[in-house]
Amino acid sequence: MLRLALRKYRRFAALAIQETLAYRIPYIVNMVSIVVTYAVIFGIWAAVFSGKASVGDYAWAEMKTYLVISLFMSALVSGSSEYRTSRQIRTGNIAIELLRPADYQLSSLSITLGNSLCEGVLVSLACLAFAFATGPGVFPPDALSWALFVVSCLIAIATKFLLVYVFGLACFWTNSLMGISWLRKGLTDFFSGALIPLAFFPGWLMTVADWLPFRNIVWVPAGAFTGRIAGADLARSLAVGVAWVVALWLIARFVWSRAMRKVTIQGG
Amino acid sequence: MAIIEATGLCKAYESAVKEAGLAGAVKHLFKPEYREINAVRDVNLSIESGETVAYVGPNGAGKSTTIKMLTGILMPSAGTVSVNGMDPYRERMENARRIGVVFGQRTQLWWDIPVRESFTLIRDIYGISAARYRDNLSYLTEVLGLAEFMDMSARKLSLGQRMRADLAVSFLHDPAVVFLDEPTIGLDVAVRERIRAFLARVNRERGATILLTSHDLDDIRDVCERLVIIDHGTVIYDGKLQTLLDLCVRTRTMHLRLASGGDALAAKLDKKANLQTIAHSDCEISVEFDRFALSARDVAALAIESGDVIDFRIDEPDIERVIKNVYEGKLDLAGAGK
Repeated sequence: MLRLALRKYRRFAALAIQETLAYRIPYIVNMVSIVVTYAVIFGIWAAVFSGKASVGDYAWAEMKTYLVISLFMSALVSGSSEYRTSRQIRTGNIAIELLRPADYQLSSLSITLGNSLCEGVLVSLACLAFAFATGPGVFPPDALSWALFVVSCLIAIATKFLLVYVFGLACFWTNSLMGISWLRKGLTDFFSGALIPLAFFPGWLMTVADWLPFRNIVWVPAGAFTGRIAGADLARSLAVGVAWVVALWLIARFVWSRAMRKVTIQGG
Repeated sequence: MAIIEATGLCKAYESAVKEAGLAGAVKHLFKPEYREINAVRDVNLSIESGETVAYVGPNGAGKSTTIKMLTGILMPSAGTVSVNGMDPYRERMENARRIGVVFGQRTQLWWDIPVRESFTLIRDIYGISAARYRDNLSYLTEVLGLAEFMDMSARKLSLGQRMRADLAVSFLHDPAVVFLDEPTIGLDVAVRERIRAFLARVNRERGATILLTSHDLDDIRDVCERLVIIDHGTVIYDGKLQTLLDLCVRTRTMHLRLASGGDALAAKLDKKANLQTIAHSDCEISVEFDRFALSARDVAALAIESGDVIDFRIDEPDIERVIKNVYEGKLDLAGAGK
């Protein structure tokens, strides 16, 4: 039973990879646009740091690394994953998904993981290029730190997927994605620390960010990588991250069941 | 127990009422108004295993909404549904495993991968065993002629090819019930015939229960024994197609070809009860007669007796016209059907 279920959802992930390969160009364009955005952000931070050894308690080497990790996390769960659910709702093709003996949330997750794998491969190359171009950064000191970084990345992917998914489900009510997607992106970019490390926030705002799930997307993985978040602090952050994933998973289930009750399948 | 059982099935939803123009849009923003739309009202259906049922009605009658409730993707506002003994909405995944669905306007194939791979994906999603998959695939490939486009991606298929592939997809897992929502829409005559033949065959050979909606009356005549007509969300006829025709078509028309003397014969025939000539010339007469009072033989005998008849033919009852009359409320179906 479990074996069949695993095979089923693994096929969804494989499908996502096949589709990415079929649409190589938009996928590469999406990656390039993210890299270009980060080149600009990088330029801004370079200007902020010019002539200074550090800003706040950030040395330039750490800041550079932070930005590369932020780039990495921004590229995962982007592009097609971002719009899949809302597009299916808008076109009514969600009906086809509902006719399959598969759990929609799990199949969406599998597809996102498949996509993330493709995105991860390409953006890793971009990150390496970035790292080489910008000189030495900060790296995890040992295998355990690397392992914890990987764990934080998995939590980040799950968190980002669930946020995208829940915001996508809102389309059942709004029938349009634009506003919702901007809201989600805005909140994510700001409260995850993608644009500005949370350490630069005023105290009260940092407290707000601490209570939100977004920090698990960039701030925690970047901290785990650079060592800014370590030891008991990191363990606590990862535990909270897992708790958020569980909570968001249940919230998504709840939103889905509400949506199904009021769903009107668009078109014939 | 019937394989599909719906009792008092209703679906109502709210539809935004917006006045025209920008002012209307702004007004709706602050004070939204909704109107309740009853897409399906108190539909009762009971379909036995192995039946072939056509679900017919004008656009917007509630056909697709009913299908969506029977397949579990819409929750009914009231009433109960049972398919294969399960509530399709509450047990969506389990139900999905045992039904097949074809939407003429949507495809289940994955757009960018070869058809063959869409099939293996379906195999894994439905957990079809290797042996059963091989058997079913070769059966469907043969009956539907899929071989020629198995290795093409869905987006490159013609509509007819796509539809055949979609049909195959929905039969791969041996569904007990198959719902088809306008499966022949937009297809050419040859493909439509092939699909009808396929549906009739799969019903005969595999015992699949079939419920289809269509505006193409040949689909109904060739595939379905039973006809359910829905209009404004309510079932207005449920019974055999032939019964409906018997009920609604009281008259038949006979066209006679004569050597000569058409006008004289027409005058003579018009004196008889239960028939009347509706057109006549010297060499041709069209007679309409009450088919419950007179048989075609009676009419032919009458004409041959008093005129120089060379040839004759009879128009069969026109399903299309009957159903159109039903839609337009011109026929009283009280007491019709079962």
